[in-house]
Amino acid sequence: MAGFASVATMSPSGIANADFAGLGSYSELMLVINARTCAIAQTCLVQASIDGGSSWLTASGDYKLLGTTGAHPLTDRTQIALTNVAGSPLSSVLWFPWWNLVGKWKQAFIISGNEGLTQFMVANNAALNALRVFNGASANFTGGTIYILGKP
Amino acid sequence: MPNPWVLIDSWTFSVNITERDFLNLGAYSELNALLRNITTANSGLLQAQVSINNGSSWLTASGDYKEVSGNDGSQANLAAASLHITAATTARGGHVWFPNWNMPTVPKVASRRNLNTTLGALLIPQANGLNALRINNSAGGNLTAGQIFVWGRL
Repeated sequence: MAGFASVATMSPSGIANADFAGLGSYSELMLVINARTCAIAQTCLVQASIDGGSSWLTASGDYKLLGTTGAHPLTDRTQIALTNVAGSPLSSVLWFPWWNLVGKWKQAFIISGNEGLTQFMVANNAALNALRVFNGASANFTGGTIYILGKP
Repeated sequence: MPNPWVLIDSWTFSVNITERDFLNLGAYSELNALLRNITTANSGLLQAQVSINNGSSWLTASGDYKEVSGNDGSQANLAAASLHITAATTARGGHVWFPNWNMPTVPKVASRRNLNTTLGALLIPQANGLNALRINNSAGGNLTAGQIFVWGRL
């Protein structure tokens, strides 16, 4: 079976949400953001869906942050923040090594993180099948490119 | 099942060399390189550089590699993917993973997997797939001991 394939490319502008649906067949997913800009510098955020993007996982605790100390309980989050602070342009790489695995929480590694790997969990046992990329303060995208890579 | 990782090539020191080139890698969708106990004649950083023409030339210009800040997502121009952060002549190692090594159009990701405070991912903004890897020292001069392993996945 082949490695990562290019699944989708988007250069969003004038919209607040970059939504990617139809991702349920991929076992691994990688999000590559290259020089995304928005009207006011903001961090870039990610949420996932288990129903193809009809709704999104947005509740506190849908995402768990595993800090570098490994301390429990894990920190509840409503989303995955890709950077520590606001930025524009902003780039990042986020990897879901078992994106559509049923019965387990999904890991999400920010492999561009300053700690080498910054790990989140998507606290849901259902397979993930859609991804939303958006900005803090609901700021619109003004430029940059978002790539979705997937492995069957 | 995904294709398995295979050891493509390796280098174990026998004589001094200024760089070790790994060619004919264009068939691999993913690549991993591991450096172990490499000593150098000059105090520098062990680094990786890549090629899109199988080593006829190498990507060596500032901006051929974009270091992504995990803090604010900004990009910094680099001329290589450095694999550790403190210059030395004494034994150093490193690890870099290219998850979309030969993918056309999309920027290539180079994920440095040393767990420390500054090394994260780089983007290599090339429309072509990559097909050769060079390991050398940022300060020039010889590699004087050590090992390099390169694994790939079709």
